[in-house]
Amino acid sequence: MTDSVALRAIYAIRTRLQVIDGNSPFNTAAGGTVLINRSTVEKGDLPLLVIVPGDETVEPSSGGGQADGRSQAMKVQFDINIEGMVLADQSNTGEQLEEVKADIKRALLLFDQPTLKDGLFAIGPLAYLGSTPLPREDGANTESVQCRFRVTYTEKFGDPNATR
Amino acid sequence: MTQSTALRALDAELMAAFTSAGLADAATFIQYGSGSPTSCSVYVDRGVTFQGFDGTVRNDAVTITAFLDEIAEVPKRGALFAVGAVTYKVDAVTAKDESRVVCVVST
Repeated sequence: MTDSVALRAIYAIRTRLQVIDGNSPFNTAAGGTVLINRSTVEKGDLPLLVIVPGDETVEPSSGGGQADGRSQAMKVQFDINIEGMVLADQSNTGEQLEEVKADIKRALLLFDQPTLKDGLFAIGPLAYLGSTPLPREDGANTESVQCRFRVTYTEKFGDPNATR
Repeated sequence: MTQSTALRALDAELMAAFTSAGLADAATFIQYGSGSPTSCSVYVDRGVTFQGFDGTVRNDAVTITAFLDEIAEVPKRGALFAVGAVTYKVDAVTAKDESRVVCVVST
Protein backbone atom coordinates (compact mmCIF):
# COMPACT_ATOMS: atom_id res chain seq x y z
CA MET A 1 0.00 0.00 0.00
CA THR A 2 1.49 3.29 -1.04
CA ASP A 3 1.02 6.56 0.79
CA SER A 4 -1.16 9.36 -0.47
CA VAL A 5 0.45 12.04 -2.59
CA ALA A 6 -0.08 14.50 0.27
CA LEU A 7 1.73 12.28 2.76
CA ARG A 8 4.53 11.66 0.28
CA ALA A 9 4.89 15.42 -0.08
CA ILE A 10 5.21 15.74 3.70
CA TYR A 11 7.82 12.99 3.80
CA ALA A 12 9.73 14.58 0.91
CA ILE A 13 9.82 17.89 2.79
CA ARG A 14 10.97 16.12 5.94
CA THR A 15 13.79 14.48 4.02
CA ARG A 16 14.94 17.84 2.69
CA LEU A 17 14.78 19.44 6.14
CA GLN A 18 16.84 16.68 7.72
CA VAL A 19 19.97 17.96 5.96
CA ILE A 20 20.04 20.95 8.35
CA ASP A 21 22.82 19.59 10.52
CA GLY A 22 24.64 22.65 11.80
CA ASN A 23 27.48 22.27 9.34
CA SER A 24 28.14 24.88 6.65
CA PRO A 25 26.13 26.34 5.03
CA PHE A 26 23.58 25.80 7.79
CA ASN A 27 23.37 27.93 10.93
CA THR A 28 21.56 25.46 13.17
CA ALA A 29 21.16 21.72 13.66
CA ALA A 30 17.37 21.98 13.64
CA GLY A 31 17.11 19.21 11.04
CA GLY A 32 18.20 16.71 13.67
CA THR A 33 14.64 16.67 14.96
CA VAL A 34 11.85 17.08 12.43
CA LEU A 35 8.40 16.39 13.79
CA ILE A 36 5.05 16.22 12.05
CA ASN A 37 2.11 18.00 13.67
CA ARG A 38 3.53 17.91 17.17
CA SER A 39 1.63 20.36 19.36
CA THR A 40 3.97 20.69 22.35
CA VAL A 41 7.70 20.16 22.64
CA GLU A 42 10.25 20.58 25.39
CA LYS A 43 12.96 23.21 25.51
CA GLY A 44 15.60 20.54 25.90
CA ASP A 45 14.77 19.19 22.44
CA LEU A 46 15.50 22.46 20.64
CA PRO A 47 16.46 23.38 17.99
CA LEU A 48 13.86 21.50 15.99
CA LEU A 49 11.39 21.79 13.15
CA VAL A 50 7.70 20.95 13.07
CA ILE A 51 5.90 20.25 9.80
CA VAL A 52 2.29 21.40 10.05
CA PRO A 53 0.11 20.37 7.10
CA GLY A 54 -2.47 23.00 6.26
CA ASP A 55 -5.27 23.58 3.76
CA GLU A 56 -5.68 21.51 0.65
CA THR A 57 -7.31 23.45 -2.16
CA VAL A 58 -8.52 22.13 -5.50
CA GLU A 59 -8.72 24.36 -8.53
CA PRO A 60 -12.26 24.11 -9.95
CA SER A 61 -11.07 24.60 -13.50
CA SER A 62 -8.91 21.52 -13.36
CA GLY A 63 -11.70 19.01 -12.97
CA GLY A 64 -12.68 20.40 -9.61
CA GLY A 65 -13.00 17.06 -7.94
CA GLN A 66 -16.07 16.32 -10.05
CA ALA A 67 -16.58 12.93 -11.63
CA ASP A 68 -18.05 14.56 -14.69
CA GLY A 69 -16.25 12.45 -17.20
CA ARG A 70 -14.19 15.31 -18.55
CA SER A 71 -11.11 14.66 -16.49
CA GLN A 72 -9.89 12.41 -13.77
CA ALA A 73 -7.27 14.97 -12.77
CA MET A 74 -7.57 17.38 -9.87
CA LYS A 75 -5.02 20.13 -9.50
CA VAL A 76 -4.29 20.25 -5.79
CA GLN A 77 -2.59 23.00 -3.84
CA PHE A 78 -1.39 21.68 -0.52
CA ASP A 79 -0.23 24.26 2.04
CA ILE A 80 2.42 23.13 4.46
CA ASN A 81 3.85 25.23 7.27
CA ILE A 82 7.29 24.63 8.70
CA GLU A 83 7.84 25.92 12.20
CA GLY A 84 11.41 26.45 13.33
CA MET A 85 11.93 26.50 17.10
CA VAL A 86 15.18 27.64 18.64
CA LEU A 87 16.64 28.68 21.96
CA ALA A 88 17.16 32.39 22.51
CA ASP A 89 18.00 34.69 25.36
CA GLN A 90 17.95 38.39 26.10
CA SER A 91 21.19 38.99 24.22
CA ASN A 92 20.11 37.45 20.92
CA THR A 93 16.33 37.75 20.80
CA GLY A 94 15.12 37.82 17.21
CA GLU A 95 18.43 36.64 15.79
CA GLN A 96 18.07 32.90 16.28
CA LEU A 97 14.75 32.73 14.47
CA GLU A 98 16.34 34.41 11.47
CA GLU A 99 19.08 31.80 11.52
CA VAL A 100 16.64 28.90 11.43
CA LYS A 101 14.44 30.64 8.85
CA ALA A 102 17.44 30.89 6.55
CA ASP A 103 18.16 27.21 7.12
CA ILE A 104 14.61 26.20 6.21
CA LYS A 105 14.76 28.20 2.97
CA ARG A 106 18.19 26.86 2.13
CA ALA A 107 17.08 23.26 2.63
CA LEU A 108 13.75 23.45 0.82
CA LEU A 109 14.21 25.94 -1.99
CA LEU A 110 16.68 24.18 -4.21
CA PHE A 111 17.36 26.09 -7.40
CA ASP A 112 18.20 22.97 -9.35
CA GLN A 113 15.36 20.92 -7.83
CA PRO A 114 12.23 23.12 -7.77
CA THR A 115 10.04 20.03 -7.99
CA LEU A 116 9.43 18.10 -4.80
CA LYS A 117 10.29 14.44 -5.28
CA ASP A 118 9.58 11.18 -3.53
CA GLY A 119 12.70 9.33 -4.55
CA LEU A 120 12.72 9.48 -8.34
CA PHE A 121 8.99 10.16 -8.44
CA ALA A 122 8.11 13.81 -9.05
CA ILE A 123 5.31 15.17 -6.87
CA GLY A 124 5.12 18.80 -7.91
CA PRO A 125 6.68 22.24 -7.59
CA LEU A 126 7.28 23.69 -4.15
CA ALA A 127 6.62 27.40 -3.63
CA TYR A 128 7.57 29.64 -0.72
CA LEU A 129 4.71 31.88 0.42
CA GLY A 130 6.35 33.82 3.27
CA SER A 131 7.02 33.68 6.98
CA THR A 132 5.90 35.03 10.33
CA PRO A 133 8.34 35.57 13.20
CA LEU A 134 7.56 35.03 16.87
CA PRO A 135 10.49 36.50 18.80
CA ARG A 136 11.29 35.43 22.35
CA GLU A 137 8.82 36.84 24.83
CA ASP A 138 9.89 38.22 28.19
CA GLY A 139 10.58 35.37 30.58
CA ALA A 140 10.95 32.77 27.86
CA ASN A 141 14.05 31.12 26.44
CA THR A 142 12.74 30.18 23.01
CA GLU A 143 11.52 31.76 19.82
CA SER A 144 9.92 30.51 16.64
CA VAL A 145 9.35 31.27 13.00
CA GLN A 146 6.59 29.93 10.80
CA CYS A 147 7.50 29.48 7.13
CA ARG A 148 4.67 28.86 4.70
CA PHE A 149 5.04 26.66 1.63
CA ARG A 150 2.73 25.29 -1.03
CA VAL A 151 3.21 22.16 -3.08
CA THR A 152 1.12 21.82 -6.22
CA TYR A 153 0.37 18.49 -7.84
CA THR A 154 -2.23 16.73 -9.91
CA GLU A 155 -4.15 14.02 -8.12
CA LYS A 156 -6.32 11.36 -9.72
CA PHE A 157 -10.01 11.74 -8.89
CA GLY A 158 -10.98 9.16 -6.29
CA ASP A 159 -7.44 7.92 -5.82
CA PRO A 160 -5.40 10.18 -3.52
CA ASN A 161 -2.40 7.89 -3.91
CA ALA A 162 -2.09 8.53 -7.62
CA THR A 163 -0.99 11.52 -9.60
CA ARG A 164 -2.11 12.20 -13.13
CA MET B 1 2.52 56.82 59.05
CA THR B 2 2.46 57.12 55.28
CA GLN B 3 1.16 54.49 52.88
CA SER B 4 4.72 53.83 51.81
CA THR B 5 5.91 53.29 55.37
CA ALA B 6 2.94 51.09 56.19
CA LEU B 7 3.37 48.94 53.07
CA ARG B 8 7.08 48.48 53.67
CA ALA B 9 6.54 47.55 57.31
CA LEU B 10 3.80 45.07 56.38
CA ASP B 11 5.89 43.50 53.61
CA ALA B 12 8.88 43.18 55.94
CA GLU B 13 6.74 41.45 58.52
CA LEU B 14 5.24 39.09 55.93
CA MET B 15 8.65 38.33 54.46
CA ALA B 16 10.01 37.45 57.90
CA ALA B 17 7.11 35.10 58.47
CA PHE B 18 7.36 33.48 55.02
CA THR B 19 11.12 33.13 55.36
CA SER B 20 10.66 31.34 58.69
CA ALA B 21 8.16 29.05 56.99
CA GLY B 22 10.52 28.34 54.09
CA LEU B 23 8.36 30.12 51.57
CA ALA B 24 10.85 32.83 50.60
CA ASP B 25 14.45 32.76 49.44
CA ALA B 26 17.65 34.64 50.18
CA ALA B 27 19.04 36.21 47.02
CA THR B 28 21.78 38.44 45.70
CA PHE B 29 20.71 41.34 43.52
CA ILE B 30 23.00 43.00 41.00
CA GLN B 31 21.58 46.03 39.24
CA TYR B 32 22.28 46.22 35.52
CA GLY B 33 25.30 48.42 34.95
CA SER B 34 26.20 48.47 38.65
CA GLY B 35 28.10 45.32 39.45
CA SER B 36 27.88 45.64 43.23
CA PRO B 37 25.82 42.83 44.80
CA THR B 38 23.08 43.47 47.34
CA SER B 39 21.67 40.80 49.65
CA CYS B 40 17.90 40.63 49.69
CA SER B 41 14.92 38.37 50.21
CA VAL B 42 12.66 37.38 47.33
CA TYR B 43 9.64 35.35 46.45
CA VAL B 44 10.17 33.15 43.41
CA ASP B 45 6.96 32.12 41.69
CA ARG B 46 7.15 29.49 39.00
CA GLY B 47 4.67 28.85 36.25
CA VAL B 48 4.55 27.62 32.70
CA THR B 49 3.97 29.36 29.40
CA PHE B 50 3.78 28.12 25.83
CA GLN B 51 5.54 29.86 22.95
CA GLY B 52 4.90 29.14 19.30
CA PHE B 53 2.32 28.76 16.55
CA ASP B 54 0.63 25.40 15.97
CA GLY B 55 3.59 23.75 17.60
CA THR B 56 4.55 25.24 20.94
CA VAL B 57 7.47 25.01 23.33
CA ARG B 58 6.85 24.80 27.04
CA ASN B 59 8.79 27.56 28.79
CA ASP B 60 9.23 28.41 32.43
CA ALA B 61 7.36 31.51 33.50
CA VAL B 62 9.20 32.78 36.56
CA THR B 63 8.51 35.98 38.44
CA ILE B 64 10.60 37.35 41.27
CA THR B 65 9.18 39.69 43.86
CA ALA B 66 11.74 41.87 45.63
CA PHE B 67 11.47 44.76 48.07
CA LEU B 68 12.67 48.28 47.57
CA ASP B 69 13.75 48.57 51.20
CA GLU B 70 16.41 45.99 50.37
CA ILE B 71 17.32 46.54 46.72
CA ALA B 72 16.84 50.33 46.83
CA GLU B 73 15.97 50.79 43.17
CA VAL B 74 13.75 49.25 40.54
CA PRO B 75 15.63 46.55 38.61
CA LYS B 76 16.54 47.45 35.05
CA ARG B 77 16.31 45.04 32.13
CA GLY B 78 19.37 42.83 32.46
CA ALA B 79 19.65 43.08 36.26
CA LEU B 80 20.43 39.79 38.01
CA PHE B 81 18.97 37.89 40.94
CA ALA B 82 21.06 34.94 42.14
CA VAL B 83 18.89 32.53 44.09
CA GLY B 84 20.78 29.45 45.23
CA ALA B 85 22.54 28.01 42.21
CA VAL B 86 20.31 29.76 39.68
CA THR B 87 20.85 33.24 38.30
CA TYR B 88 17.82 34.96 36.84
CA LYS B 89 18.01 37.88 34.44
CA VAL B 90 15.31 40.54 34.58
CA ASP B 91 13.38 40.87 31.32
CA ALA B 92 10.69 43.26 32.50
CA VAL B 93 9.08 44.78 35.56
CA THR B 94 5.40 43.91 35.55
CA ALA B 95 4.21 45.40 38.86
CA LYS B 96 5.47 47.95 41.34
CA ASP B 97 4.22 49.89 44.30
CA GLU B 98 5.84 51.85 47.14
CA SER B 99 7.28 48.70 48.65
CA ARG B 100 7.69 45.84 46.22
CA VAL B 101 8.55 45.18 42.63
CA VAL B 102 7.63 42.14 40.53
CA CYS B 103 9.94 41.12 37.69
CA VAL B 104 9.55 38.67 34.84
CA VAL B 105 12.87 36.87 34.60
CA SER B 106 14.58 34.34 32.39
CA THR B 107 17.54 32.06 32.93
